[in-house]
Amino acid sequence: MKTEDQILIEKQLREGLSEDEKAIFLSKLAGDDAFRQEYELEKQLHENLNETDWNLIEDKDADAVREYTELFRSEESTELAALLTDIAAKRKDQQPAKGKSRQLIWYIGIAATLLIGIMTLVLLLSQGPETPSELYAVYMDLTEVPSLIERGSETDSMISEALGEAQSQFENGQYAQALVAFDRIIQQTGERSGTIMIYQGIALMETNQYDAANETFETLINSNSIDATKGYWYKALLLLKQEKTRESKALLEKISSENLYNAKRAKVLLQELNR
Amino acid sequence: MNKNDSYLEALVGKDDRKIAEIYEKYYDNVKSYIMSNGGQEADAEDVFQRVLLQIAVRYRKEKFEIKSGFDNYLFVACRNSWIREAKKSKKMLTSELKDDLKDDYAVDLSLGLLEQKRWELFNDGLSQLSDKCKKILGLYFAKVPYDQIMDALDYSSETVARQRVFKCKAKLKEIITKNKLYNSLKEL
Repeated sequence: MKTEDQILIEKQLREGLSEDEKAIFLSKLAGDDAFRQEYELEKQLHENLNETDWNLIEDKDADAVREYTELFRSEESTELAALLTDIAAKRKDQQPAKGKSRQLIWYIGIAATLLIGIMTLVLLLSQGPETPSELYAVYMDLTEVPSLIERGSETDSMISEALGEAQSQFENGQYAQALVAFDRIIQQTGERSGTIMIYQGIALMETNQYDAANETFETLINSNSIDATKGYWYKALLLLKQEKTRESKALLEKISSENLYNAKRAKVLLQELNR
Repeated sequence: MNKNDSYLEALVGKDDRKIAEIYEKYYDNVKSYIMSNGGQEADAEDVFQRVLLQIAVRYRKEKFEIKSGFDNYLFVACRNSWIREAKKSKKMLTSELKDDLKDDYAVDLSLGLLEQKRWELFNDGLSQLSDKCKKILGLYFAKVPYDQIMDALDYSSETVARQRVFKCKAKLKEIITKNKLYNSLKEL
């Protein structure tokens, strides 16, 4: 495949083509098999690997579609669908009614959070051992990550806006974009705060860039930031995600014995890993 | 039996107690994702049910293995299902042949299931690349312009960034096309 053809395909999929380029593209698509095949594969790459896009199936009459459709129409599936509907409805009936005062709902919320916390702990302690990746998912609590935007701070409004956008990309799971945004903010401000390092490390971890995530948490640990010791906790979770249980446990021991950030949670997680 | 398998078996065996546990443990995360991404509670219920049905049918047919943990797999599959709905709605809006795009429920579930399998194949390929390749391709597929990729990753020029993308993409294509599942999924 010629470089100019690769660039043409890339442009069609990324930023769009001019009228002249479009004419060349369509003619190649119609008359050049190798070009068409390359385009199909590139399109699938883009639609499957862009976090906000999706690759829809074109051939609805394919054998594979028919085979699965039969299974979805089977008695087994119909019964399961009915059971799922039933379970969802029962669950909904048990939810608290709407229209309570906000204060009451707030109190209920607090009570529920405490109850869920206790139940999770009881569940964790009573159930059999979970896989390291399951434990990672349980303990990776994104709600405990501090906000990037400090209330009342005198941060430049453009920087505040960029921080807000980066945080929103992070919260929506658009980690690749969030990572670019963090890099740009660091360049503009000339500083890399502990909070940003936490965000960067988690985004890298969530996109499976483990070496880079490790480097980030190491930098955080060795920094003068007030959040430096949080680096140990996130590094322990990173090791857990990679199923490096032994190393993760060693770090959790350190967090627990030196009373570092999340020492109590580290202790519970250790107990869980030792079961 | 590990936890992943026990949930899969519960779905196939229609074990109501265990399925209720799946709802209890994992539904709220999915609901909060969908509701903060333009959906309503009814959408969350629909997506959650569809994905559980798809997991059950797939497991019944091919006993597939979940490597990442059931909770993680379920959440990602629900998130994908919601992104798929958005793409379908967008396609409906721009297509003149709207009736052709309306599939019955069972056909739509099959299409979604096969699309999820294809998504897993491509993402599994990506996960086998080096961290550097993952990082640059993450930006590339997110349509970040080359000048910004160059800045973000400290390349000396856009040409260098482009060459790096091409190299990583070539490796990725090699991994994906060598996967034996690729041929059965590529032309759908």
